[in-house]
Amino acid sequence: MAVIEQPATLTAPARPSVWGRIAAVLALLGRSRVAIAGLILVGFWVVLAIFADDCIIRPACWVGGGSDGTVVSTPWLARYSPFEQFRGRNLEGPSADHWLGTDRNGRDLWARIVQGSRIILVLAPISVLIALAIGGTLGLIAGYFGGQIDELLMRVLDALMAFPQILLYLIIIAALGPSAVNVVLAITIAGAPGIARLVRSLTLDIKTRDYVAAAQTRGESPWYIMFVEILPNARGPIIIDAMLRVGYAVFAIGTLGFLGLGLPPPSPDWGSIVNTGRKFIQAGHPWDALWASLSIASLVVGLNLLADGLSEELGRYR
Amino acid sequence: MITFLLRRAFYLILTLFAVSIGIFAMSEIAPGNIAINSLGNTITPAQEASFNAQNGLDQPAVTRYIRWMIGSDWRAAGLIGYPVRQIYEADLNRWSWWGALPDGTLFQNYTDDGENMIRVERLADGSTRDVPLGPEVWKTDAEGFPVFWGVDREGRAAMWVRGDDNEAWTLGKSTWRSSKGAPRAYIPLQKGLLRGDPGVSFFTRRPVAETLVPRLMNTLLLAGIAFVVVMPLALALGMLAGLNEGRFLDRLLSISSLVATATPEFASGVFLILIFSTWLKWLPGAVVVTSDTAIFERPQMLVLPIITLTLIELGYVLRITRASMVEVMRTNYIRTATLKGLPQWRIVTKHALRNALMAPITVIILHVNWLIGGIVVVETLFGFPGLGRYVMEAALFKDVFAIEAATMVLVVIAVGTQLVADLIYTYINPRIRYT
Amino acid sequence: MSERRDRVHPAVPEAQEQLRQGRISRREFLRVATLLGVSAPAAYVLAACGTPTATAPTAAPAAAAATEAPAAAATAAPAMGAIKRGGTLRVGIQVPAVDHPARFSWVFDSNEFRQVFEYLTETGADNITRPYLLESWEASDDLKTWTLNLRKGIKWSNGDELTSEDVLFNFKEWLAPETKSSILGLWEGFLTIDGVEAKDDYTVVLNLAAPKLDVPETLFHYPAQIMHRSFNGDLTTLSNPSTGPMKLDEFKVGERVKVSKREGYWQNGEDGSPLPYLDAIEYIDLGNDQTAYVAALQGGQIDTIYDPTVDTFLALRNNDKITVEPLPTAQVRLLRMRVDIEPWTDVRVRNALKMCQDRQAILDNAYFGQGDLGQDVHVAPVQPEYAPMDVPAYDPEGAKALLEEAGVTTPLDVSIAVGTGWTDVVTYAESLKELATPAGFNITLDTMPNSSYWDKWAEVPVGITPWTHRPLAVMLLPLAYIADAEGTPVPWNETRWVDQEFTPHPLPDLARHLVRPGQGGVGWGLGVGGWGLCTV
Repeated sequence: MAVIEQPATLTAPARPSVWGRIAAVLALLGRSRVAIAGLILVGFWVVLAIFADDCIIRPACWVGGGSDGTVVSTPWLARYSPFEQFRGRNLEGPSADHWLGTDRNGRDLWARIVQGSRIILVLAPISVLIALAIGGTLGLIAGYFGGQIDELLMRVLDALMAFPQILLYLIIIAALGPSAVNVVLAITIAGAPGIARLVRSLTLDIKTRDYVAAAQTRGESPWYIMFVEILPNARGPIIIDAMLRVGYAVFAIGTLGFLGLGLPPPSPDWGSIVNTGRKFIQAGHPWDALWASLSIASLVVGLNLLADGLSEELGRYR
Repeated sequence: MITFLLRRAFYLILTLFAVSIGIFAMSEIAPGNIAINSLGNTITPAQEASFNAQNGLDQPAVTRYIRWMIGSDWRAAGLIGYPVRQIYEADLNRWSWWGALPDGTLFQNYTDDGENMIRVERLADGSTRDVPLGPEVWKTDAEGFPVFWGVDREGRAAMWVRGDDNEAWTLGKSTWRSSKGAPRAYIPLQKGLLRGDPGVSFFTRRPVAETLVPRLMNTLLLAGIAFVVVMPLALALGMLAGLNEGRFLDRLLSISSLVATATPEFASGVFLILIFSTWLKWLPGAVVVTSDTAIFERPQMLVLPIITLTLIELGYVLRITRASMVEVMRTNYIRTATLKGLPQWRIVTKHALRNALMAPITVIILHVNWLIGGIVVVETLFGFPGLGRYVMEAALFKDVFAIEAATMVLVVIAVGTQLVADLIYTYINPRIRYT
Repeated sequence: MSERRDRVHPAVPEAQEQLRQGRISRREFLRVATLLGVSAPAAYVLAACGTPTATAPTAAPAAAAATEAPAAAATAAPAMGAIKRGGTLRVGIQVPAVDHPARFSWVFDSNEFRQVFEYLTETGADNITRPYLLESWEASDDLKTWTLNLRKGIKWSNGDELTSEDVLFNFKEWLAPETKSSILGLWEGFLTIDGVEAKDDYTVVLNLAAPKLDVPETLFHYPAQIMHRSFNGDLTTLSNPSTGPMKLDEFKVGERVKVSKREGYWQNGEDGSPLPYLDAIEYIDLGNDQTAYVAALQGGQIDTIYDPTVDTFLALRNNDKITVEPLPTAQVRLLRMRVDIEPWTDVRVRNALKMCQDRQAILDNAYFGQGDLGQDVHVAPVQPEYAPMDVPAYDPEGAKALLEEAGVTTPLDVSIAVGTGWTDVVTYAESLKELATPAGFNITLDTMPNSSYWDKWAEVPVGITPWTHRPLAVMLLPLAYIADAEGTPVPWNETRWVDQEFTPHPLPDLARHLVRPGQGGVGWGLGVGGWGLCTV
């Protein structure tokens, strides 16, 4: 690659307590108005997702809101079950009963949007975390060992990155069928190479530091050096990147849903809501599509703002 | 520099090779039975076996891969002893394969009894005549069987075994036909992807290239216009924002670009249709292609798809350009220029521009992958007959050869643009090290 | 119901008058009378839309969605009398890959070719079948010998005359098992190729093994387009001779079909000149997403949409430029399970799912109430065989008890295959999922594009299949609910349900029943209990 890979900024190796660290991050965020705006947006959805119904205290129904009928949850913030069909209330606009209106099956849109946030806020971070684990490990290995391993890994990852992501999604979902697991799988495979590239470039830089040399002299195993010495010191850029990637993942899950490759109905998957809802725009009922795309947009914007603010603040310590 | 480019080109080819294997493997291992998917579930196991043999699906993956890439006609010609040729039969509106005798006569073969081979010769007017062949055409193969290699009536290289009572099913011109004395082995004739023939679609039952090429042209047109619109606009707005860092204009542009980037194409597209097509009735909300020239006759059809496609790119490029501009404006040499008292526009055009454009241009071109994602969504939303919709539908229908071909084309475009990105980058930044 | 029963189709007195004057035979009158549902009056529920009447959750009439005539037309029908010639009609419709007309497996396969290739008979919008390429037909008293008289002077586009040789060729194709034509199921047990005999150039005699009433209707089964004796097996090639008013100019799978006016068509229009009125028809494929078609229709880029969904109906009903022509049909959304796959082998499990259907709720949700409720019989009110029956009640408690009785562990996981293009089908399944949960079913939706559903519709354990309109139920039942002579279910028997009494040939008796003089036809309701096939 002729593109110069900028060694990312690194925070100093320090190991304060967990709470101390969280406080430090919050303080950091608090200094940036952009980050605060992002935090509010993301926080809004996180709160809704957590307190949508009483599943938080009944782990049996965490994902899907008890859609298999075995666990019946009591709605809290969602007000209704996302699956309950109100007779004769199909395709209504917003009202006091149904804040955002109802869909073609007479289901409450607010309940569906709120429960949909839970799906997306579970699936997106999970897929990014898995991608992070796989891509991060590959990047560390490539960057730390270098040589032939590096060359081979990077060629394979280049080939994967050469794939437009949407094609990967299409091929994977078309081959395996639409389901939550396959959506996560597709996003993981598509995301891992990018993470590996980033981690590799960070590793190449950190490898030259004194504390790594010191660890090598001590005779630490390469794995110890990679995961204990190098990885924690590369976390800043990785976290910002991951935040952006969660945004992409939300975006991608939405797109899959829109293309009809997302979670099968009646799941309140935002992309699927847009997909089925847009047919009714022409019938004068834009609400499904409107609320669901607003939700996706606001969540992605929030995550982007958060990442932006964070990197700006980190950038000041250059 | 030449060495650098050669090196890049070499890696590009290597990458494409890896990708082609990946695509091939993925289509191979994808669950789903090609025969049943394309012929329906009423076929019998015998018919399925015949179908697989006739389409070369029973052959080892390596053979299939080679056939897919560089074709099988040369291999078949070696076995038949005559070259094979593909011609267009205008009255049937299709391409077909024939063997070619030294005098140029085209032929195909068949046998009714497994004993007497018949050569069907094609006359100049498109009609045919049967020429019986003598028993001397049977040649003994390595295993001692008397065999004959020829081109069958469906345009496949085929091996008949003398006196064979092999029963085969052919999805013939009008019906499934069971025939005794059918060929034992087939080589489906194909020129191969590298020679512009990626095979026959199971869905349309016509050559993939025939559908793919016009679709590709449509998509290139759409993406091309989108590119031409986005690039200058995004760069200009980005620079504007960058030069006004922190001011109201910058905030406005930054926030709108962030929103534009974060709004999925399907969402923005839906609302553009709602506003401009359904309410205001200014623009058509779907691309209706009634003829090959319809797009040029009604270019307004392309407006909404292009806006939808460009919104995300616009926001993205704008942000990159802004960031790059801000960075450049903070550098010492710009400060020096300012201190020298040069007018602002001179500083920008003379000094800042070139450096500020480096990052965005590279990023734009590396971002072609993202554009392809948008194209799939936009084409689906507007019913645009392009490659994006084609690959989407091929994936849904498990039309293996079509997926393979379309994916390869898109990857070549994506990877090819990376090479272009390098070229442009080297042009803009002569100090680059060729590592 | 009683109100409907008293209604007599206006054509019936007319036919009676003709009968009195001796212009038609008694048999003809009965045909008209029964087809018009004297005993079982077709309940003309004038639902709006091109998808009017009934989608019935289970076996019942549904959406009209025009079998041959597109339903929602942007241009109002020209005023009667003033015939305008010329112009191009642009139809938004999918263009699937096809080869042999006999292998069409879906009505829209045939639509692009209806102006090019023709049928021996034609069933009109009034559900009456009349001769088309035929001049007339005669049936023997025992309904076992049918004489088809071809119209004379019909020329193929290559100048040949349409003769019985062509008809014979088509029967050969239809009746050969290798063709894999759905037509075979309609003739199975009645006719073999040996029974088809060309008496002279214009007369074909069908010697049936058993009496059959619906011969003319069967000849209008959508794959039964008449091809020239030299047919090359691929109707998309431009070289096949045709009898229709238009010729095929272009065929591109997934893109478009163009047909245009041909000189020398055998039929004249009402203004006395040869048909067609139109110069050309373009069939334009905009993909499998109907919103694109709606947008194109609203933008004036196409004139009509084939098979509008109920969602499309909602979008178009208030558009004053668009005329929606309601038409009751026998189209249906059929929830069915394969009775040869566990746990559906047990009739109690099948009945349990059947009892989980709050049919009114499903109809309200899936079709916005536009249609009739299913009664678990694949016979619709517009068909003469229809007899009013009670709609089975929603009874989740009873279903639960049945499941327990069958010894099934609940929740019972059920995966229902649905084509996502049929949004009402998806909604049907979604509603069913909610309704069936209390009884102990855990339903998941196996979604796929319509074309994929069509690839495996007869294979999935449980699925919701849209069945199209047919003028008579006796045309449909042998397609889907019988076995062939060896006892194997016919190709379209998606349930695999086979019954000794129903197979091989219960129909002749029923047919006789229908034409018993003096009774004016007898309503034919297949007892569901007797069927044992619950949610047909």
